[in-house]
Amino acid sequence: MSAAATTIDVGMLYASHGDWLREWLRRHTRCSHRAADLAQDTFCRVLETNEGAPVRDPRNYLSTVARRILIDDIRHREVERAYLAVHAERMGDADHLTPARVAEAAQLLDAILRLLETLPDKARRAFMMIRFDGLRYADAAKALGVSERMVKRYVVQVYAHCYAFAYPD
Amino acid sequence: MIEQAAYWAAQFATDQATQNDRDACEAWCREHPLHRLAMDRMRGLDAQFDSTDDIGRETIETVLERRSRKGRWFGGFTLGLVLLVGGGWLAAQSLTVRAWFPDYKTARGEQRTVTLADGSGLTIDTDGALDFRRDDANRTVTLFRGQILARVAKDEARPFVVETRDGTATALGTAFIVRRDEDATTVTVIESNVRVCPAKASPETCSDLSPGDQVRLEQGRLSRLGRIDPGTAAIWAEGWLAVDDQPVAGVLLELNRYRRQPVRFDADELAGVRVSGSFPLADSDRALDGIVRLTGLRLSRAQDGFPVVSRAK
Repeated sequence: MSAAATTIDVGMLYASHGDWLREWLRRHTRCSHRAADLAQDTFCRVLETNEGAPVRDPRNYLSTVARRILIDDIRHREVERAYLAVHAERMGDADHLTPARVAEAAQLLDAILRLLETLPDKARRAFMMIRFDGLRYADAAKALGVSERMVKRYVVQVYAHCYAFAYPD
Repeated sequence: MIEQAAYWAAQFATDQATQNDRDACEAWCREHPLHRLAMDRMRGLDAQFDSTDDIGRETIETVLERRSRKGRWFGGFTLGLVLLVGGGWLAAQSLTVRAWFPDYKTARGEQRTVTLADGSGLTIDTDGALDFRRDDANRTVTLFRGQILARVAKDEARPFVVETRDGTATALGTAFIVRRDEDATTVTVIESNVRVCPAKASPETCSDLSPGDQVRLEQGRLSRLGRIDPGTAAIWAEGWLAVDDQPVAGVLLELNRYRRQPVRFDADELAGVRVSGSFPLADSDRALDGIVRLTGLRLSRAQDGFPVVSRAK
């Protein structure tokens, strides 16, 4: 399928269902600004992922993609809120945050959370101790109550998982 | 190869790495351009973690803690005996006895993904109970109550069957959902095909389903429900209650399956109120807040502390 054909498909989707999608999102968010942003994201995601395959039921397809976008957005906001709360608690007024800084931090943390979230509990804790807290393998092993070899195996497992997640092919 | 790159990354994750390690890694990278590529990618990924400061780390902990609440054991389980209405009493009895000691169960509000002995994955929704057996001829999940999403491991010799009091669903392929409610069982197909047979039925009453098909098994009969979107049918397994323009009373009923403190409401009073949105099942209070906000309904507390939803005066 050529790139031109894909573009036309999405263009047509946009022209015939753009308003419908914004309304669908507005119903789901009760906020027309957010709905407009999310609709934009939805079409971007369609452009990125659709290989130009014919779409049998365009509205069903769009709402499926939009639902993913919506959930991603809710998760992202959750990370932002948590970041703001932690920041306020730690720094008080000492450090002034700008919206751009918060967005940047939340985006990075969101990406890391995606990587870490699906891991088994122990492997994740081992990894965070080594990589974030700067513990040595022997100390992490003591804290987790497992052997040093096991901790290393966990960390290797986490790196391999991250790789597979980032490069699925 | 990825394993090897991961091994090096783990090696360099602490300050314990030696010059020998670095030389060995470099030698490995020289062996093949793909080795070099894998290592470069791995370093790129690893660099993400460098920019995580203390605040970032605590944020990660906070969010993980919040999200993992769904996996926590709430205790206080109730047995699904009342679910065994209708159906043959004798058949029901044997299932009843087994339902006392299920192989796997989840508490109210809990969702759990388990790997069965055959490698298949099951996501068990709130308040569920099931047994798993494997012999030479079959793999059988007996679902006593609740809802499961099955991702079936390939095994040509042994069909994967989910049975409930209302009938069976046999995987001819990979992913499908079985939900057992009080009065009926619903089967939804996500991927590939599933054969569904009502309980105590002749083979010709069975039906082969394809992705997007949804059927209801009730009192020995099978009825087809409308087609559903296989892309979002399993979204509960990711911890979301996703609704699209549905009556709010039904949505609250569904949310109550996940709550220890059910929401009280008068379905007649709420008739005509509809809602759309995606709500987190792991945090059903937040989900309730969201529903109330989107519908403009009123949320109050009864004297015993239970939440009450009503129309705003």
